[in-house]
Amino acid sequence: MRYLVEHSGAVLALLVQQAWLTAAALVIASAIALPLGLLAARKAAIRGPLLALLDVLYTIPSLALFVLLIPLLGLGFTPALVALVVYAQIVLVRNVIVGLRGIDPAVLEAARGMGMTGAQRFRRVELPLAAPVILAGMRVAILVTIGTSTLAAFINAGGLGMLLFMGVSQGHTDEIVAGAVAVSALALTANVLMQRLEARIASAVRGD
Amino acid sequence: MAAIDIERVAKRFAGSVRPALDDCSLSVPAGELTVLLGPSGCGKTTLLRLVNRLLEPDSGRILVDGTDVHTLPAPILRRGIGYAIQQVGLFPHLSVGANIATVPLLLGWEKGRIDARVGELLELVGLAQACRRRYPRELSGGEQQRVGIARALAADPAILLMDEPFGAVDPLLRARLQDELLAIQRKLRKTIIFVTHDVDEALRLADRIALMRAGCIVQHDAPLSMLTAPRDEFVRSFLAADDVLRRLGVTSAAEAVVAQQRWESASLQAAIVPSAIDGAPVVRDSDSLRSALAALIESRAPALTVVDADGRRLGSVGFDDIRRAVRS
Ligand SMILES: Nc1ncnc2c1ncn2[C@@H]1O[C@H](COP(=O)(O)OP(=O)(O)OP(=O)(O)O)[C@@H](O)[C@H]1O
Ligand SMILES: [Mg+2]
Repeated sequence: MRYLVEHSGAVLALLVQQAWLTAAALVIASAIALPLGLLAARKAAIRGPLLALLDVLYTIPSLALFVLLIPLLGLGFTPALVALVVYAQIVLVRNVIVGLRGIDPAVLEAARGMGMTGAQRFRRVELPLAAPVILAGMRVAILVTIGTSTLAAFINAGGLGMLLFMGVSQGHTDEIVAGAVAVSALALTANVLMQRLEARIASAVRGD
Repeated sequence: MAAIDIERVAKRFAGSVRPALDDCSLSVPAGELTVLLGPSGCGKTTLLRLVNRLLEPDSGRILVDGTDVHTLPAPILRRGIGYAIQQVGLFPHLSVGANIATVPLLLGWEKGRIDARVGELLELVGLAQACRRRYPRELSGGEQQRVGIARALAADPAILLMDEPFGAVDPLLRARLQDELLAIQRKLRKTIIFVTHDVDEALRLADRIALMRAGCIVQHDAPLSMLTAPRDEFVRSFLAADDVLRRLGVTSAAEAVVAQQRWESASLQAAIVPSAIDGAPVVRDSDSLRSALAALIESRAPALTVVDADGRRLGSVGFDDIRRAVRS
């Protein structure tokens, strides 16, 4: 704990670095997962292979994924970002698919029968009704990404993982504790914020 | 007013050998309620969904007021056709008011007009104005069904397509909803296609029935004609046309007066029944003979007085006249 206080500036800088990497990864990952999940929810021919691919991805340890990307993208921020984006798809795409396909078919039939266009159905019916499941997926993806991005220090992408790796290699327990506490704080904060957002959206969707 | 002309449509679903619809033609007169009746899987839903282009036919065409439905973009076409289904499909995240306002909103009506219209519709389907702010999950099954019908009628479409709208509610409530639909139809005179596999429901609601079997329309007629002149054995047995109670249900008291007069002139006899009887039960000419018979039995009187809408006496009919009316 003393380390945390004495080096608060440095720890904060690493935390900001990791938060930035995490946020960037999640924004990009969501921008990919939403259309991809939508497409897969509509087309069974895409859904099967895509879910199988995500399952395979899930079995690759995140550290291994970082290492696998070194020959392609080298070291640093960019390969870390790519790995995190890919990794987040596992949860995000699956929840987009589950959320959309969980909608009562009668509701969609009614929407179509009343003359909503595809875009209107998506915006006014599908998205709000799938939102709770999609958001739950995002919350999990955020936690996974924060955890995984800690490992990104291994390929020189910075972040709180630096403290952990340095601590381990140099035998400094102080640094390890400081790193762990800071990562946990980041994850807990993100979790609480997302839970609040989920509750807000859920009640808006239920119409309370 | 809109008439629907279905001309020689065929539809086969990918992967099935037998066509769901095989060269079907049907003319639905404007302002009438036509029931599509038939056993499960005979193609009723398929035929209905062709009208608002939720399905496309393999061949043939469908005209609404003489216009091929294909010449309109599907969403535009559908906004002009009310659609109500058994599962209702209310939007769970929207209030009852917002659900009803769906099509007017799509059509870009202004807010004041939509609000007023939602109020009218709640009244029309017999729901309290306070329902407007409630959510579908807070409503009973019957109330949800009423909201579904209000939503289908919201933009005042000339055509209403209904796919077993009362199929999931208990018999008592179903009878109530049927009465309400008839009352609404008397007021609005929409062109309605109503799908059911319930014969009694069909006889009760229909101006005309189109009876289907295995993708074809077997007979298209008024309910009474279906019962008295079934085209073949399938029609006779599906409608249980020989069932006397069923016939009584679709025959009006006026028919008994006609039967009596026909018999009198044929036999050159005066009616055995005195022309006016004090204390005889009175029924309307439009009442069914089923209720007339019940009244006759309960009163123990030898005859009933039949009156028209203005209370004018049309005649007195006894048990024999009722029997003759359904034995034609
Ligand atoms: N989307 C579909 N894909 C394949 N076959 C279908 C599809 N929809 C309907 N069918 C088949 O087409 C035939 C007619 O079905 P349809 O739903 O029109 O019957 P229905 O008269 O409405 O029956 P029910 O009273 O049970 O609702 C059936 O054999 C059915 O299995
Ligand atoms: Mg059906």
